[in-house]
Amino acid sequence: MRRVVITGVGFYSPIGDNLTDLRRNFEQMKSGVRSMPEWDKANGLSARIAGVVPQDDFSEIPRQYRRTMDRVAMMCALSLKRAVAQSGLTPAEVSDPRTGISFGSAMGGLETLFDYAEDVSHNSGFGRQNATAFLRFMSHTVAANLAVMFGIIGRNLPTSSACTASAQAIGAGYESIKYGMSDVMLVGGGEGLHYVEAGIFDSMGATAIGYNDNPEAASRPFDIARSGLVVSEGSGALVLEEYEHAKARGAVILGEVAGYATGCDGSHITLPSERGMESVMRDALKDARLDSSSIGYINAHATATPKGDIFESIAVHKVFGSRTPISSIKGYTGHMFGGGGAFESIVSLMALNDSFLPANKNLAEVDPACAPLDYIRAHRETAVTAVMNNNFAFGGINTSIILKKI
Amino acid sequence: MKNDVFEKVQAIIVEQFEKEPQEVTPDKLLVEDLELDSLDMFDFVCALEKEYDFHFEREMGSSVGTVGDIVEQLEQHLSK
Repeated sequence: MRRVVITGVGFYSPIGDNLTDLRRNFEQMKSGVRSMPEWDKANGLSARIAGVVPQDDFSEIPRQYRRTMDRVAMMCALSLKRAVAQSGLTPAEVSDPRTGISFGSAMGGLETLFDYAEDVSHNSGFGRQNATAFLRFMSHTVAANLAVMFGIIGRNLPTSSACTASAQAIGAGYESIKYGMSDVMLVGGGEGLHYVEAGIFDSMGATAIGYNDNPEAASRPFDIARSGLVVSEGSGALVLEEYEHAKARGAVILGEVAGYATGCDGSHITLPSERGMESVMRDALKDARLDSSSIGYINAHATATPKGDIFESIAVHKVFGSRTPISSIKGYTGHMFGGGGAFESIVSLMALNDSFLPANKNLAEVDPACAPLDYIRAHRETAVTAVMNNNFAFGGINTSIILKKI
Repeated sequence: MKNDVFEKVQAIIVEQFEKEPQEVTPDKLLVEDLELDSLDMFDFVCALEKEYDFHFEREMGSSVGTVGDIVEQLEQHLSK
């Protein structure tokens, strides 16, 4: 059986782009959610808050690659650059036919798409549009651009499943290596912030309202006073590698992807199903050949929507009972959509390697409708040997990833 | 007039393709010297069209050789 290990990570998030800042912000329970006066122009928008990555300079990316990248691809590109540097892979190893890539996002390059549509409709028509616009907004813009920048000649598996996009990218990479198609897979995903996202979720009644003057308190997974999600942005990249391949080149192994499962509810386009969530967690455990008691920490999807958190807690309770520590980090970051699965997997890896379990931020009183779980209220320094990261998306798409120490 | 057009074209190339101003001289070949590829050429023409509010013939991108050629074509257009 081919085992899959992690040899590099990189990320951008509203609470840091390195593990030191990340940990400090978790310890101080500091939020990356802020007011968005930039969105005053957005007519009729209720939620004027967001999780923002404080990074606007991407000139480190050579122009010939950057010209076809939206913000989402640029954040992913620099995240992957760091992950590859940490892995120690040489350019020749990255451009080996046995090295592939899988990256995703929910929206593609939304900012470019919005500007393009606006310009076509109100100003220039189609006659004076840049040739590069589509390449910046197309749904697989991240995977396509990163493959060019890093010289990937192996498989390229873009994902586009909203909130599970980068979790499915990790899964695609894991399965590619496990079943022998690749030896190395560069995986992850991201999302760039735009007020259209806030507007979309406003329209569905899914954004946190009533917190425009108190943004840090807005994202409240599992809390009784939660009113919805906070849109945010960010990216995560991981280098996945076949265990013997990593060992042979003397790479530092950060952890093992021990199990992965993805499944679909097949029932409702937005309403999650606790049965689907339960099923995917059980399948991931089976894939990892682990009992639920082996999991020392669960990184929950919990976006702070009224129903989603309840269903998720019930599903977790069915699989784990009440004893496994659980937290959602969206209280700090908001919802990074396509970037969430990869970034939260990196946080889960940090829990594993640093024996550090982040707390649920803004969890003052657990909603009694949520199942009785061990909700982490203050961060814990607890050694764990295996962790689970769950993500769920519109369309009833569910993912569960299990990481363990090697 | 001639200098005005050149300076504008130079400014577009400097900003859009991140070149140093001293690199962008009339004798420079757009493809060979300034390393603009086909995607860049489309975006360059697009920027010129917006700046001067007219429509280049589609073949133009492939027929021009140097920065000076572009300036010359623009001057011919502007003198009409």
